[in-house]
Amino acid sequence: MKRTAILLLGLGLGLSAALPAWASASEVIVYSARKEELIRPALDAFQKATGIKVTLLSAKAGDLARRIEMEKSDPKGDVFLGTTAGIAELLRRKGLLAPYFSAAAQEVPEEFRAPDGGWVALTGRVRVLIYNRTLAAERDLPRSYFDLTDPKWKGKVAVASMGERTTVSWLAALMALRGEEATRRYVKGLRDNGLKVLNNNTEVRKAVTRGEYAIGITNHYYYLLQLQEDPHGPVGILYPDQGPDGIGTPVFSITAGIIKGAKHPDAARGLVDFLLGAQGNRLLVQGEFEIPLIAGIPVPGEDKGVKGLGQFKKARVTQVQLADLEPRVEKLFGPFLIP
Amino acid sequence: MTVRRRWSPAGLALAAPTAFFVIGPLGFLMWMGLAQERADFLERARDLDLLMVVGQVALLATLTTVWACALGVPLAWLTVRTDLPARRLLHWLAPLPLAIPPYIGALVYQILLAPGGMAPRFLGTGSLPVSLYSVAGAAWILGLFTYPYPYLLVSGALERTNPALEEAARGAGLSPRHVLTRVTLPLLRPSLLAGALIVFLYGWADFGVVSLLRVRTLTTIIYEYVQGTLDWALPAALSVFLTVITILVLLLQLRVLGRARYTQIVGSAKPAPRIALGAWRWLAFAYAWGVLTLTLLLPLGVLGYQVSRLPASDMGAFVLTQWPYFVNSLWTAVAGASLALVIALGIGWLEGRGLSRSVSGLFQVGYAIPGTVLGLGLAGFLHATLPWIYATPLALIVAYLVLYITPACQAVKAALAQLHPSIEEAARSLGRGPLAAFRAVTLPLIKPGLVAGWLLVFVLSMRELAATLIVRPPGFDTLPVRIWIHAMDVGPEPRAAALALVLVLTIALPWLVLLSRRLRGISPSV
Repeated sequence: MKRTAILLLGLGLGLSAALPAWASASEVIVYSARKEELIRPALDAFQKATGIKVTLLSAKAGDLARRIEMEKSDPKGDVFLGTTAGIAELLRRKGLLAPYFSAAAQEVPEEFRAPDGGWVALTGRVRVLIYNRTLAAERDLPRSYFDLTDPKWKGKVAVASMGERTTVSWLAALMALRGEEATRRYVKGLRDNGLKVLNNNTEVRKAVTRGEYAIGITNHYYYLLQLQEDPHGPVGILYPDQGPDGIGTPVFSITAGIIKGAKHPDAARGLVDFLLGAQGNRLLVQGEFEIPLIAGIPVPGEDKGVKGLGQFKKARVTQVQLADLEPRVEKLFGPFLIP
Repeated sequence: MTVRRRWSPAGLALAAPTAFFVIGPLGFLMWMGLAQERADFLERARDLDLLMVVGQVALLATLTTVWACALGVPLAWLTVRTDLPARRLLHWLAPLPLAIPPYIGALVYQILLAPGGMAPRFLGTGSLPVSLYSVAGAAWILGLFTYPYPYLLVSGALERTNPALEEAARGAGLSPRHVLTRVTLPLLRPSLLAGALIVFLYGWADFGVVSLLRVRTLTTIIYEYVQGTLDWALPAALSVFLTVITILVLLLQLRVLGRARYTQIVGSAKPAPRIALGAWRWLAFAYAWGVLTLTLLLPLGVLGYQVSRLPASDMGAFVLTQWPYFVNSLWTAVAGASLALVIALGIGWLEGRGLSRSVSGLFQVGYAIPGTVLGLGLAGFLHATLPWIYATPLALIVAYLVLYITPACQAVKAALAQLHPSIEEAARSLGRGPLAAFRAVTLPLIKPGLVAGWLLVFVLSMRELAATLIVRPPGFDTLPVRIWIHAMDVGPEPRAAALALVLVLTIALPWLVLLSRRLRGISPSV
């Protein structure tokens, strides 16, 4: 009898906790590939400002995109937040995103928007190198990604696995600018030089700071996250390929797209507007340590050597070009980008 | 037992839906995998070093098995058969590491042994000579937290073995060593093999530990493709490949176990005399506590220490915000365990004490395939056939059911085996209807076994991670999912440790109840 009572109590508690999530009419369901902690402040502010409840499904971009594709006859999510434009563009081409031209999106440079309004970039992330100050002297540092095949760096370079879409986008950028053959040779060179593939970018920043590897190929905000966690850690940031003959440093973006057939289209549009608006975008940029794509928002970490858009030589490759090449990168290099 | 048994319609009605949920996901993956071009698959298999990976997984599972048996079997013998000091306490504590899911064990040992971790810092070196991030490291973790399986089975068998057999051997002039090798060990063989095979399958299908420790296995490859790409065909084809090998492993195991299953000694007149360890006592004592330190005290200590690094008020506030996830875990696990047990009981009762071999074999496939594969297949299958279950908490319950119906059936079978049909028949002959006889006679007798089986499925469901990650609906994370998100986003930090501690204590609580009632001999034997 007692056991039954406990069981019923458990079920009751469970239902009471689970029901509001289904029953709420003013809700927006966000499929987010972004680290939860970093976007929480912006989403909470939206929830507070509008009274619309934000329900979050945090997973990696591929997992979420597969769900969206599977659910297309009866979508469960409203907004997709991707960590690069690549997956959003693939979803758009499959007709899974609903065009939306937010007035606020006009502030975002054109190359960071889908031509048909299927997705829009919210913030930017720069593909930098981080290094361990103790293991790599300032004057020895590589100037280009292509220097990392130098025997000097044998076994000393780490990168995140393909589960992190930015790794795929990075190779897509190289392929767009240098061609497939050169990129193949480069990846082979990296592998021969003992490139270490770790689970994710968090492991890369930690392993480099601890001195397991001298150099990490990662996104600029991991440098700031590392400094936030450990303000005196021996970690430095460098923007590769800045010289006159360098390809420049690629910029990727957090993208938002509204899922076609979303159950809460108004709330979804409201959220996109909010995240592109002055208040929301500022919170997003600050929370994520990303660089703003919209004028007038300060660059987090400027005092620590982080550069905003226009302050460094940006690789000349558009988000759509990256998306075009990403499936090819997956196919050619996927097997080597698994820990 | 008859070889060909006819199913009663009611029994079939209970078994069929469960079987449907095992076959469905696998069928779905096979169908998706067909889209994969063969030439392309072979090319990627080569790039992925697939054969090397299969070899590596086999090595990992073997090392894990050896290590777990090396920890568990001597400990079982020491606590049951010798005058080891504090053996009662040890016997009570020894199964408790089951409450620590191996992926949490991996988090703990990362904090301790990874480069920059506590031990290297203490020793003043950058890293340790043997890396935790290796097959050896993964086997170390998996063995530490699965040794209770061989421990429970072997200690149970030792308790049941009739000491008269050993006495007779001694009387016939055999030396103690020969008594051990010629009598005791052969008697233990079935339990030992069963325990070893559970551990082997665990190592074979593990996702959490190998992923955290960066060991490339088929599960981590599938996971990377699921996480990183929109591709269906390749992960599906890899899943089918993995399932086929797993079934081969299962068949092999059935052969081995089939041969080993001979009549067990039933009951014994008196307990076996305890062997005096003499001078070896304290060495054995140190060994036993060494095992418990590595598998229980150290992990709990490390988690507790990590938690204490945040101010208590912050930590308290954080844990409170996680309450909904705790409730999600709790009620789905309760529902999953109850459903699994009701189905297992119904089948066991209707079908006269057990499943036909084909159905139990099918259920075992559900138990042996990795959660990542099941999750991927189940999500697609449910969406295609039962969309009202897809993306609801029911999907989680179905996943638990498919994964853990086997241990539930095993528990029911073990419980019913202690009962002679004549007892129930006697009640029927006294005028009770079938249900009334079941309630009045059978149920009270088998209740302890059922409770044990329910708790086991509950515990396994509470800590399930790999399938849950894929089938959970939006806004319905479970405790293991939250631990995973924290661990992957920020590493093994105080908040991940706090959630891990909550999970471990929640799991340990029913185990303590179970063990304090000394309900033994029931474990998810394959």
